[in-house]
Amino acid sequence: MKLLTIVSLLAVSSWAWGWAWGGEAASIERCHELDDIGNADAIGCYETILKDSLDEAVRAEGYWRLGDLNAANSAFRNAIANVPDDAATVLARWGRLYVQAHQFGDAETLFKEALSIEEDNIQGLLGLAELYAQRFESRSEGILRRVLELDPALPEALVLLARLHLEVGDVEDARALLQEILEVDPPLGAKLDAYAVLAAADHIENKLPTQWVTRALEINPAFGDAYAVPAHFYIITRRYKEAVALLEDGVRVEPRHWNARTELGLNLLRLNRFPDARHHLEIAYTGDPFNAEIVNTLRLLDSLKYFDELTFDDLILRVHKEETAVLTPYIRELVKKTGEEMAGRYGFELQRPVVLELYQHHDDFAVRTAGLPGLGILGATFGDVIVMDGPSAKSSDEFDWYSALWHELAHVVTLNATENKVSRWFAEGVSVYEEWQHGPSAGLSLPMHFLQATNDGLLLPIAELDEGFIRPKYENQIGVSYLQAGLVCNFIADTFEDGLRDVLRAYAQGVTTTQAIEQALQISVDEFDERFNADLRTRFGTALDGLDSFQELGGQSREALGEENWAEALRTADEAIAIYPAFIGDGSPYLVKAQAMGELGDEAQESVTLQHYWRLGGRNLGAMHSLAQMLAEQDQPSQAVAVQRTVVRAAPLVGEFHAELGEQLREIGLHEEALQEFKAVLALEPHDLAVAHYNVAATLHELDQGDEAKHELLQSLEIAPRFKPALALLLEMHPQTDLDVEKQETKQ
Amino acid sequence: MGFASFLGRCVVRGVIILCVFACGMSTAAVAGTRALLVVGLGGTEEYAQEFQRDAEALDGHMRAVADDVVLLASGEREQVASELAAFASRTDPDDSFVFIYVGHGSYDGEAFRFNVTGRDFTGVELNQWLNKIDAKHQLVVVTGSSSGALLETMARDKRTTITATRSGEQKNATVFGRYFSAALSDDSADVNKDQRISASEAFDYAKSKVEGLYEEENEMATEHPQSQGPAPVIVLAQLGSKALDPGLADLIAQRESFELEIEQLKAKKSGLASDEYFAQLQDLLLGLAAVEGRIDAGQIEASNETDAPNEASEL
Repeated sequence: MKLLTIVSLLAVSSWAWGWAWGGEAASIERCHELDDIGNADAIGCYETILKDSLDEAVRAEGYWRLGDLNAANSAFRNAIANVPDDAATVLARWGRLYVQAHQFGDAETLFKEALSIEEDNIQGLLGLAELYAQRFESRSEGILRRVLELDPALPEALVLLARLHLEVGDVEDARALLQEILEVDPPLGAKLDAYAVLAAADHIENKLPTQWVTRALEINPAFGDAYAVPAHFYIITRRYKEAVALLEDGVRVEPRHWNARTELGLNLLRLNRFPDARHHLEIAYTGDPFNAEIVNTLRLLDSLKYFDELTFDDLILRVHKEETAVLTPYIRELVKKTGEEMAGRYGFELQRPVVLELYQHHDDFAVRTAGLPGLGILGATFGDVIVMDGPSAKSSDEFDWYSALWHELAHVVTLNATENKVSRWFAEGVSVYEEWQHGPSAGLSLPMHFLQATNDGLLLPIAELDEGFIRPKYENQIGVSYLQAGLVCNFIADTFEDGLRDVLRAYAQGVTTTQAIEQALQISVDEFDERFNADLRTRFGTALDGLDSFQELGGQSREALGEENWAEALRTADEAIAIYPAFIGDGSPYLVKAQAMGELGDEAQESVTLQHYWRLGGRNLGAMHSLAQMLAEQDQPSQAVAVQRTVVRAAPLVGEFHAELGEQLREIGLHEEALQEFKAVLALEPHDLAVAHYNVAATLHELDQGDEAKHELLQSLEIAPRFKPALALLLEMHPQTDLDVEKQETKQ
Repeated sequence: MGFASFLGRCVVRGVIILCVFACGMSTAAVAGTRALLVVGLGGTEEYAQEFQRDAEALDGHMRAVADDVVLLASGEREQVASELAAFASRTDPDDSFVFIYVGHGSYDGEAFRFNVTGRDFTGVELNQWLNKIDAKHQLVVVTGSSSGALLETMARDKRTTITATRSGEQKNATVFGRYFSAALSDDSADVNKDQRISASEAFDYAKSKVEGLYEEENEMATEHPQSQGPAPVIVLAQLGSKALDPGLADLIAQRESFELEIEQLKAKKSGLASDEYFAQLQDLLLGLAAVEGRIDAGQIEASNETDAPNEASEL
């Protein structure tokens, strides 16, 4: 009896992890095989496992595959509580469950716990690698290489590594890895995954139609990843139309592919197809209630009822109702300039209206744009659709929204001109170049961290510049890559006639960066890098060489300012300016110099300094506002208007700025524009409504729009009947004789 | 217009003219307003200076419009009680009474306390002391933390209570007080442009500034100013400095008559077609404009007549 018990126990205990042992563990393997090929018998197989197995880890796998993530979670917890021998593997598998439930922090903790027990646990390593790959973190590849040292033929690792290669455009390397998998006739699940990535490779190289989808569907007719995996590569290269087409196929063959359906919903939003997007997201939520992205996006869609949607020939604008009246004129101004000037620079004509959504809260913007790798945090463009933070999402000190809008409009041009085939770096480079040379805050100033990165040799060769955006290797690399891309485009524009346009045209043919440079500029990428780097040294050599001194002098000048040592502040600021005269970023020595001048009583020089700073592109709001007031006091009204215009556009929701600009514009006779400013004040619901209505009335009167002027004036006087300027204007509109006055008094 | 209505308008005009004569010609001083301003304990040098500054600003403005203003720069409980008792004895039923507290407050879940030098006094005590002042209207302004806890305690007929917070639970130091006192010298607070800042205008201005500050700094607001009771129309400050020439009493009366008619028309706005409303409004405003112009002309004339010669004559 005792022996029988021991044998029974041994039999039961051999329900070990499917990955560790064979024998009866093959039952769970068998279930997986059936499930991987979409065989309906898989359900019954798992149900049998759940009925018969006492191994909690195995039961967890069963529940998981049947879609009951909560039960799977409990089973994993029980499994670990039983202190299994293969605890590391169980923890790692548990971590994978959390990945599927979108709880990535918890997943990472479990993977690391697994590896703390067993340093080379393959499941733990794979889990981390997959997690980091999802976040586009460069450490994923290092971990995968370690896995492959432990098991060179592991299909899951090879597939993931192949995907990483594809993400940076190394198609040949990816294909080679996938062939390795197929040569050893792997399990069907691994084979299907390999087919999906091979299909992606074919899409990237435009070798369509691809045989790999057909071959995958022959094995499993409900294999949605055959479409969803290639779709991922279209998404990360901003080709949303193509991605949506594939995802629609993906959910058609596998309706319960919740990730694919979620991606479909999110990408339909990027194509401005809101009802379809909502439809798919609502379905996805029923199957995957763990996905916060779905919930947040649906809530965001609900909140759009507070938005106005305005349609013009060249623009569809979605903006919060509170901000419509104020922001619309400035937005239209830039969109018009895009069509009339910017697009032509690149030999392109906008064919469709730009769609622009502005969000008051950064979190709403973040929800709207989830899922794009290396995303700039201020705005994103999906073909014709721009989604960005509005001016109320961040303070004007940290966010030049107007310049950011110009940046995004440049994306509309480059994406449309190339049908979204433009490389990431070049798209960003043109946008940055446009900001520097033609935008509302034009001026080329490089921050300290970029100069430092240059001195440290961290700039990338042009052929690899995309990696700086997609898989950054050090903190700030994305920011450095933006600036490098901008400088590259600046160099091309200065050196090669129509160079930017020609490179863009090359990308439109679907070529690589190397091919685009060679085709458009008639030089190799190596020669390009050499000439670009030489140009960088020529332009910024003094600043690069004097970086440490510049920073030290800058610190000294600010310190002197704090100590009210104006002469010293001035001296050190001037020395800093001599090293890097173009610098107008945070802590610019121009601002220190201007303040010191002012404190020393030299208002004229203070004004000159600030004007120079402004012309270089400086946009410190306080400084610009002061400058505008100074220029007005110095009887330079046109200059005051020019500066105040930048103030208003930087902070369009501050009524006082609009009112000041309105007054300045009236002074120089620009009444139409003055009217726009005074109407903006009214739209912002100021505290002093009487004055706001009066200013509109007075300007309308100057524009001979008598009826409207009178209506505004009466609204002003309705609030404040004794408002003298308004009463005087009323009398001006209705000149009265003494007889009229007497009649009124008699009526009293 | 019917005769009865016309007669009624004449009577109203007559009463107003009489009141203007009775109350004195100067519209710079609102007859029958009395005020007690109390400064609480600052706790820190910074708050002590801020409270003093705000209270002195309020005091300065109120002295131009009220007959009887007392400022307790470091108010103690007994002093407050004593002053309020004194006000009770000298306040007429036609007077308005204003109590303004600039300082911190605290709330323990049961009672609101004014944090003053020495022993604090409570909202209940203040209510008892104020109830003894028989005034046409009372205004109580409390600018400190937790002041919202007073709203229930202070509620009664003919009393307006303005607090910096909406409840006793809002315990952070407030910024309301600085904006309330700033309102009394800011043209933009004078929403109806009558050159006077009423408590209502000061409250609206301060509330708007408080909300704007938290929005601008992207912080959750820890204070929500409240106004409870009848609209606080008591004048707290006069903008502009010139007193009006007594010889213009008739014109002033006419101006006030026009203003009254305008307010009456506004009350009927919802019952009138828009065009009709604005046409009537325009007529009244033209009349007001004409009178205002004559008052201004009269002021200039009077000013020229009364100005002393700049220099003595010389042979």
